[in-house]
Amino acid sequence: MSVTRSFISFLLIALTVALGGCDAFPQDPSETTEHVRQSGEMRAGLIAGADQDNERQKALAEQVASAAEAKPVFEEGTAEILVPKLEKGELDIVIGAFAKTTPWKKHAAVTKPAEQSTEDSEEPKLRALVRKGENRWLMLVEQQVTAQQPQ
Amino acid sequence: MSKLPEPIQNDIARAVRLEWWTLFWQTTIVVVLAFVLGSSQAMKSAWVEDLLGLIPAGVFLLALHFEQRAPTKHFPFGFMRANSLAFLIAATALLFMGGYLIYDAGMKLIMQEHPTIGPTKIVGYEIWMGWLMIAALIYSVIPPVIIGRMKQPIARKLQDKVLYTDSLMQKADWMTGLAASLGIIGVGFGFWWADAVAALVIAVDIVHDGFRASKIATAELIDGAPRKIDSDAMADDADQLQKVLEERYPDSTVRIRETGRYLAVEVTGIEPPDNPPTREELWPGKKKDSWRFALLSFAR
Repeated sequence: MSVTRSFISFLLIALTVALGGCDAFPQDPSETTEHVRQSGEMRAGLIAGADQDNERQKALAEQVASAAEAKPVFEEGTAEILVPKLEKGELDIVIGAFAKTTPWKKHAAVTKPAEQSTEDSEEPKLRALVRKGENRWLMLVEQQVTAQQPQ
Repeated sequence: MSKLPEPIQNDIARAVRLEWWTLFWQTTIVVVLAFVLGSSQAMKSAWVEDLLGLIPAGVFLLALHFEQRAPTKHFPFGFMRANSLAFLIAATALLFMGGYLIYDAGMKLIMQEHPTIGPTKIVGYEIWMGWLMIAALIYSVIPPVIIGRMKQPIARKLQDKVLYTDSLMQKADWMTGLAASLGIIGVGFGFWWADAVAALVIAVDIVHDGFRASKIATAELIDGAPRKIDSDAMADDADQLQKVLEERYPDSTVRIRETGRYLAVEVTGIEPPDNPPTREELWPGKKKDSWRFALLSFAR
């Protein structure tokens, strides 16, 4: 039993070390990053509304897309329409102003805000929504979103 | 009978110390895991199991406190069975929590929920949260396995089923850490279901623990025959004692039951002897273990 245990521990550590440096880890269950890279297109949903900053949304989308070696394809609408599309995989990313406590966090993975956040968790801030479980894509997107934070 | 038998007092003191250490380490583990739970179902199961790990230790200490109380007018037989009652309560908690986690993980599988594990910043570096989770899991496995191993031989000496089952659960904790880690790595490889499956495995383990513990506790609470500490089979020392008494009083009915860590014997069906033998005389095993023979009664 002790030999088995040592072997398993060793295997786990070796696995961790090997995968830690791997770029393709973690992976996307639905291959979002691969699709975006290969097709050269990032299907971005932009939240329309009087309180939304369309210019900043587009700029963020451009930034994320170029990090994935792709170009953004825009679709505008309300969250009500766009988030279900994201859930089904018809969109790769949804960008808009959401609060930290947004109810949409039950339907999608919510990134940190693009600007430095203050204490208020109910104030909508510009951020991205990504399909749940697409962890590699989330790593890439969140890196880009938070890179916009002023130093 | 209110004071603990002298031969086991040292072991009891050691057990008490170990259980306090268990409470301390388990609390640190619960806190550490709470920080990295995220949306992983496997982490949640592991966290709940560690939270539940506080119960047997707490139960042991509480029951021991009661066991040492002198019998009162309302409780003339003392509190030797507090141990088993508390054990049954703990076992029930395990059963229900495990059942809930099975339902929770099962629902996640049915609803095909993909666990989201994103990046996290640690000392300025951005890494995948999964690594942090695995690190926390590795930490969560080390203290229980070490302390569990230390507790097991003491539990045998004390004939303490609560302590023994607790030590078994703790020793097996490494499997929980492994299952949860594999679940998270599986998610990393794109197998979203790995997380829920790992959570299910852990939950089934919790239910199994609860079931085994409730079987043991129930057997003792309804005056069952004394069992071995680690199985359902009859205890050797009780068996031998039964034979000795049946030889000595051939026309009688000899019944032995467990009460807490002690044995209580009833010899019925014969005229009670004028000079009943002492328990030490009758005890067939080693003298140092005779403390276990706590009650002997004769009745017509």
